[in-house]
Amino acid sequence: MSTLRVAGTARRISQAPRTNFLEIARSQVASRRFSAPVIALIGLLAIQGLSLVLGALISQGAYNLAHLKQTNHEISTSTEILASQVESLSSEANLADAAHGLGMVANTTPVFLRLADQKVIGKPTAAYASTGTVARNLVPNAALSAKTNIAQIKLNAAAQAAALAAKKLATPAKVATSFVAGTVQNTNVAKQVSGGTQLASNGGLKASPTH
Amino acid sequence: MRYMPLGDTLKRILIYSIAIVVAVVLFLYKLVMFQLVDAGAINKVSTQNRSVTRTLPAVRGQIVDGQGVVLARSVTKYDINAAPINVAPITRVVNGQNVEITVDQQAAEIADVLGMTQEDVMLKIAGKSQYSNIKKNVDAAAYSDLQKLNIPWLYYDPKQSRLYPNGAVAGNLMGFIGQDGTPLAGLELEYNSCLAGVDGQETYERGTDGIRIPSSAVIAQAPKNGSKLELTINSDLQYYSQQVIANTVRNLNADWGTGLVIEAKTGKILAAAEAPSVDGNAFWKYRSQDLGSRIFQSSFEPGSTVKTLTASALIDTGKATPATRTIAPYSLRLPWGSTISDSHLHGNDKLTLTGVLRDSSNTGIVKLGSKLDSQTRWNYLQKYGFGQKTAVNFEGEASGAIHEWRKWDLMTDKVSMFGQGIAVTPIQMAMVYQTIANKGVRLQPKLVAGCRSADGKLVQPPGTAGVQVIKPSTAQSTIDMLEKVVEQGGIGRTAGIAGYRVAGKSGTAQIKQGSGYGYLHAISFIGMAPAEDPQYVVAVTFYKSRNVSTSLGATPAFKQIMAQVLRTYRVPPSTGKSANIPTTW
Repeated sequence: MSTLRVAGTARRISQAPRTNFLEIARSQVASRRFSAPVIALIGLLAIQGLSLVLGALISQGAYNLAHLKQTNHEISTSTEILASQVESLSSEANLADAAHGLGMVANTTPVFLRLADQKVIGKPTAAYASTGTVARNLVPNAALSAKTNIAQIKLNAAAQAAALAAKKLATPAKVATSFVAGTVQNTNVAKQVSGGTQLASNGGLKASPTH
Repeated sequence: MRYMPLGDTLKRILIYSIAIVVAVVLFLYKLVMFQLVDAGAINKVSTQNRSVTRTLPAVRGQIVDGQGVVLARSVTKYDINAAPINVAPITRVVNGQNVEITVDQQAAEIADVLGMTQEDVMLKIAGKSQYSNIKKNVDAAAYSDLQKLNIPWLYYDPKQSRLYPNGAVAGNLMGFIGQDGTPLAGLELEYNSCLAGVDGQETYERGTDGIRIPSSAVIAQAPKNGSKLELTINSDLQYYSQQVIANTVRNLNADWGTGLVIEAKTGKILAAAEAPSVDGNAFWKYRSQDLGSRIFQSSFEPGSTVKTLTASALIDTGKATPATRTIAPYSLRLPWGSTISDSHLHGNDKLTLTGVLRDSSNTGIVKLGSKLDSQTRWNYLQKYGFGQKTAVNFEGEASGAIHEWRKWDLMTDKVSMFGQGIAVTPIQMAMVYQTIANKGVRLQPKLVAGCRSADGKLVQPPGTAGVQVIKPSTAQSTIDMLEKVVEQGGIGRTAGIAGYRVAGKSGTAQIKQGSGYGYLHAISFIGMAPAEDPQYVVAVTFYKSRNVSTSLGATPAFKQIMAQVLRTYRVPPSTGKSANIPTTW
């Protein structure tokens, strides 16, 4: 036993610095051995976690996709409704009916102006309802989902005509006012002249006296 | 302390070990069974429980006119169904308050949207069944309105349907599609291989909440949509022509009427109007005899419009010129005792061939036409296309009938010169005048420009070369004669259009009834304009006109349609004068 103990002591003394070195080296190996599985485990957990997160995101995406598909379906339905309305309004049957309702008549005697020799071909003649119209729509269309509101067009036209008439009546009064407010009128004239000059210098064309 | 004998411990360890091993083996066995042996079957059952297979419907191609105007397209329509067992009052939030909507009220709302009565809807939703159809083929607007009602026991079954946005415009040509999506008539049927797509199929898995499981979709086959069928017709002109024909049929109290517009130099059919016309959106409302296209499917004895053909054959063979003279009596007694008469009483008129056409004299054309032997005349009838289907090969197209010349009886040999004893379709008759307008070259009528696939490639129907039926000089002489018909003829004059030179011929054909002829007629007028360089041929026919028995009933329709054609294609008015040909002597 003692021999062993002495030998052991002697080894310890003689190899003291190396022992420290070996210990350090052993601890590094140990830490390496320890860290590899840990890293693998952490990596595995990270991958699992990531896949969980991604899975959840994809699942959420699936719900979003389903929702968007529903929205898409609703928009497609709206598009379909609007498309059929546009088709109805632009169909020959509706246009012919609307034209007829507004008193439009096709001119059966067209006149052509030949540019080569500036010759007028054909005799200009007024269009008459007796020659230019056929009949009310006789071509059936069960798909007609919208029709031109002729009454509304007539109302709008009447309102526009009334507004135009009122504007014409109001024009002399406006002139009188502008005479009173002389500065404003002069400014406008100056603008018109400068604009006219610019036109003339650019294209050699006289400025139009009207707007 | 009392220690357990070593033998007992070992025994116990052994027992536990065996138990553990047995358990592990059992687990391993189950694991192997689940994971390896039964895995396929288990997966299969699992997938079956989750997976859904559905058809991805291919969209049927559009039919468009020569300008790209859509005449037929596919839309989604909906069958509105209910589960009567689930029918119950519902609660709806109105002005921030919960309001109970009774079943009666819900039925009234549904009826209002679907254009039904409340009683109708109540009948449909009565009972305890799981399924009841309330209405089929509801459009998107009604479907959208129904959805807004938010009634939980209503179900919507979307399906493809056909929409004809312009209704009956070219309806007789396009045909229609049955409610099950089967093409039943017209171009829809004839060109189904172009229009129909190939349905696809998709299989995917879904969770219990019905949501698709991500990345599970397996598209077994993607759908292949149908191609676009492009026609030659001009839908605006088609509509106008249909209006004119329908109006004339109504005024004449005729059985039916047809109107054709053909581009003389290409054979393109720009309008093929018929009355009664068919609206493919509601084809079941029409009589079965009106569902097809009479332009291609009905043949009739054409009458005097065939005199033009006989006259052109005479000139082409050198047997006559436009100025060749004849004496045309009112009535001509034939050697075997039969008599041929003209439509109006007159003396022995001294007419040229042009005059014979102008006055539409039966006796005159028979006297001059007899210069040609039967075989030669029969050959010309054939060369002009009689007795053969056109290249359009419309579904159910008739070929007409001209019996072989050897089988002609003595009377048919004579009356065939003015359009009796032979049967032709409106398209065949119009193509005779196309031939004359096109320097004697008969083209095949063209109704379909082609089938355009998704990649923009246009596959045209097989073309056929034109046939030189008569010499160009003969064609010109015939046009000159026909111009005199419109310039001077009693009926022809009513087909004239101010400012334009028009050439044409009328036809008033008796209609067979039993072994003889009845009192009703098929009246026609076929012409071309401008006569100095014919661009367009218009042919109108009205069958069994009751109010007007002569072609005077047909010329106004011809005139209206031809005037519209000249306006549509911006044809400048004529400047020259007609040829100086004598009509009498």
